[in-house]
Amino acid sequence: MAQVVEAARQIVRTARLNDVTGGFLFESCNDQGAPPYRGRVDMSFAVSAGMEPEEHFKQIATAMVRQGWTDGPPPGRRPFGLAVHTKTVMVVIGRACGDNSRGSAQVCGECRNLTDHRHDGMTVGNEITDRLTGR
Amino acid sequence: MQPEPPPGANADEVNAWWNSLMRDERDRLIAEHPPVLGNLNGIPAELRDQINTAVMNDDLTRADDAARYRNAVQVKQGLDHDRGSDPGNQRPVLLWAYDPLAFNGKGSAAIAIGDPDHAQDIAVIVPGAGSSVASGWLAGGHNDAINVYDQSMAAYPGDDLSVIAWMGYDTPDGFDDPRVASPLMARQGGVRLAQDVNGLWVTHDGSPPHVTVLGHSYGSSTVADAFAASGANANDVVSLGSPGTDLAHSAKDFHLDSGTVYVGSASSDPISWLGEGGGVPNELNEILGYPFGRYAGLGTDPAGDGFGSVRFKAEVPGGDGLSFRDHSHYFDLGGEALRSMAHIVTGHGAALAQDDLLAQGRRQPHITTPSEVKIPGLGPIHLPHIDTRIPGVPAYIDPEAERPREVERD
Repeated sequence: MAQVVEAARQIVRTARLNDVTGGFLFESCNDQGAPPYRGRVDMSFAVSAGMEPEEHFKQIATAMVRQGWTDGPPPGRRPFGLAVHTKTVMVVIGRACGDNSRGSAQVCGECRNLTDHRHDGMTVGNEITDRLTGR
Repeated sequence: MQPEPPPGANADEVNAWWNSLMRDERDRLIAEHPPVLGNLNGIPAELRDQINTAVMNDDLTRADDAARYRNAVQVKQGLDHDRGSDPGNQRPVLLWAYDPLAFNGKGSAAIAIGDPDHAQDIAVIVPGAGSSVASGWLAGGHNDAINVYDQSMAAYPGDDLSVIAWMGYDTPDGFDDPRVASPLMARQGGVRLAQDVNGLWVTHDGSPPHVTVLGHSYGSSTVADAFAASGANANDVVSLGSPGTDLAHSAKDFHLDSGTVYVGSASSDPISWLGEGGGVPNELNEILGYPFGRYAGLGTDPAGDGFGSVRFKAEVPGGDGLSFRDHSHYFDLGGEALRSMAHIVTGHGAALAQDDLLAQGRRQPHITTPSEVKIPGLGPIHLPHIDTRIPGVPAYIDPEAERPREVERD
């Protein structure tokens, strides 16, 4: 959990995102829902006033690359959306559902959690807005 | 007032009955929320959601009925999961079907992300063996519907899409369930699937939608049977990791008017090699410990180049050789299969070529004879030219296996 939450916090701070909200869930690394799992943060933020959403998303990616992140998705991945990554996380940035005034970022971590989360509710998702925005 | 539609009514008849009711009669039925009403094709999706949610909420208070309560919890978690835990970016979800005691307590339900009655594109996702409400398919951490929805919206912002996670049939319990080697449950499930898919057209508002039905693993056999034998009507089909298409022997058997059967089969996915003509089924089956019973395969491999399908790239990053693991990565965020599906379900299948996502089908080795031979003293002698597949030899050449892969994998 810490891996993706810390990465998400870094994006919030570095790109100075406003009105941030988000949640955390464990996501199975296969279509069967079985272990291993990766941590995943789904967060959203306000698109800067007077800016086209895609322009703002590029600005976020540029800010992260300046911090040492790598532009684009990891080798072998081709998500739609604007992607940046580190050795441990991939972030896909795009528009929020049905709201052009907000952007979204999906922060996906490594498949390293071997606990079986199929019946403990941890795959459903929990809000972690305070952790993303707190100091 | 007719309190309920005639027994055995089809979606058109149910819709006609519903529309014949007075406003206060409909309101009273919605308030009473009889469980049968929320599962009737022909009732608008938004009202089915209201009724099913009310029934589910009732069940969440019934701790005395263990199976009902357990499945109500699973469905509630499925709704929460698909809606998402980010309060600033919630997906619009509807409980389109809910029957917690169906299939001997395994349960039946369908969750739609986006209202199918008002969507321009509808995608129905059908899972395979081991999936059920009780086993947690709706909220268990594999984000099939979420990822198809999010990536489609990222690819085509503004598209009006509904993705339905359809847990509406009784699946084999897993790869160790002997029933997984038989198409019986796929055929039975295909009947239910066809009824539900065809019902989508009846309640749809405005111009006809573009409907895609996607099946993974055993679910791809169920989808094939829904079209080949039960009259399902949709624009396009997506078959993922298919062990065979049972009653559909070629794409023509899906009876798609002008649509396409799209196929995603990773070259390293052993289940996708079990279909007849798709590989060396029984040798492979033996090596793997007979996961599909003594006689592997559920029909024809849709990834074969003679099937009439359009195959898209669906390799697993870092995949090298057959691995059960590679049967289960078609919905990975960033995977080429998910990218392909985003194009297809939004009606942009033609974009697969431009986006370099088309793959060649698996093919059989050919035997080719020369068209003439030159014999000294006699000159050239013309021969009938033969270029044909070797009869009885399965299609075991997979061009996708030769494609260079990036090394990174989870």
